[in-house]
Amino acid sequence: MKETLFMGKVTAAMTHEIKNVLAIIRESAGLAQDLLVAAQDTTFPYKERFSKIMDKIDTQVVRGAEIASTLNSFAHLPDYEVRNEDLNSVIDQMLLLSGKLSRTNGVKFLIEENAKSVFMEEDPLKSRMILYRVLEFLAPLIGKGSEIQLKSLKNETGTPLLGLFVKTAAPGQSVIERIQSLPEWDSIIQELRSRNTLIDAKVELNALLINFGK
Amino acid sequence: MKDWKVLLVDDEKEFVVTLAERLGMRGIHTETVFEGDGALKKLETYEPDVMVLDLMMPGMSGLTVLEKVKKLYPKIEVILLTGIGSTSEGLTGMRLGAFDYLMKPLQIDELIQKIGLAISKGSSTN
Repeated sequence: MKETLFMGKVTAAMTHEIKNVLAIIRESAGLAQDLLVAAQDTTFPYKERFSKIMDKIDTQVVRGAEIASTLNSFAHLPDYEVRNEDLNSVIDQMLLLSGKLSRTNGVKFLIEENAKSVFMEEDPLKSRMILYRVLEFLAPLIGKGSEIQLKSLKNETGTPLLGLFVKTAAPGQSVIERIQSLPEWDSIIQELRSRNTLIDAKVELNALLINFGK
Repeated sequence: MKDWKVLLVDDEKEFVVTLAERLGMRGIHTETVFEGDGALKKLETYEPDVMVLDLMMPGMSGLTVLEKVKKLYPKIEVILLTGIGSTSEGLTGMRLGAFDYLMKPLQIDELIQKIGLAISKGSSTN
């Protein structure tokens, strides 16, 4: 068994355990709420606050369940060597799994709403690894409060591209031009090229375009 | 709702016991079992309107229990509980005769709604 398959298998199994834990938390919080309602004790001074806390628990259960579901799909990626999928699914999944990266750097990752489907045949693990790597590279360089809008595109020959459009907190600043002058820029070009992927800087669009290749 | 009889089958005891108590508070008679084999044994003495059955259990799997229940007790409607990434198992279950499936963690109101629909279906076909 390949190492990635093993990692994926164990992680996927653990996500089921996480969901069970969340299910118990939700039912226990729900039961506490039910008991409070059933008691009809108007003398309990924290009734309203208690209800709000229960709502908070429920919100976090929903959040945890969404993360666990996404992590489960992610863990199953090594099951496929090549897969035909919508680039927007890649973006969706990675944005949810990059929440920590976004918060740590004080930047927002955004996806285009109602984006058109752009299908491509690719190694699903590779495309996500590359997207994460580029986000990891870009996020600390664009400044706190900035945004990266992710879009699925096609070039003039119909090749799928993933665009990362930067909107800085300080308008007028050409971040992409500055990034191109950094030694790390050459390193990331080389790193991606070794994975048959091209990255192009578009200063006029303040964007980076990724072509995942074959 | 007071006449509804439900059997919860899941190896996560804390989950099942708590959920049963919540359903009980809403007037739904609920019994619990923590394994697939046990579920079949329980049906010899207790015939619920609806069985809420987890798919991922040690020993006899949820799908195997479902197949046996539909064969031996076709009147019992079965609602499956799936984990993540197991939507396809939920659909397989429906092909095997399950009424519907839900993903954990559950919304109790949604579960009760499904139980109600399952019972309505059962009474209209019986």
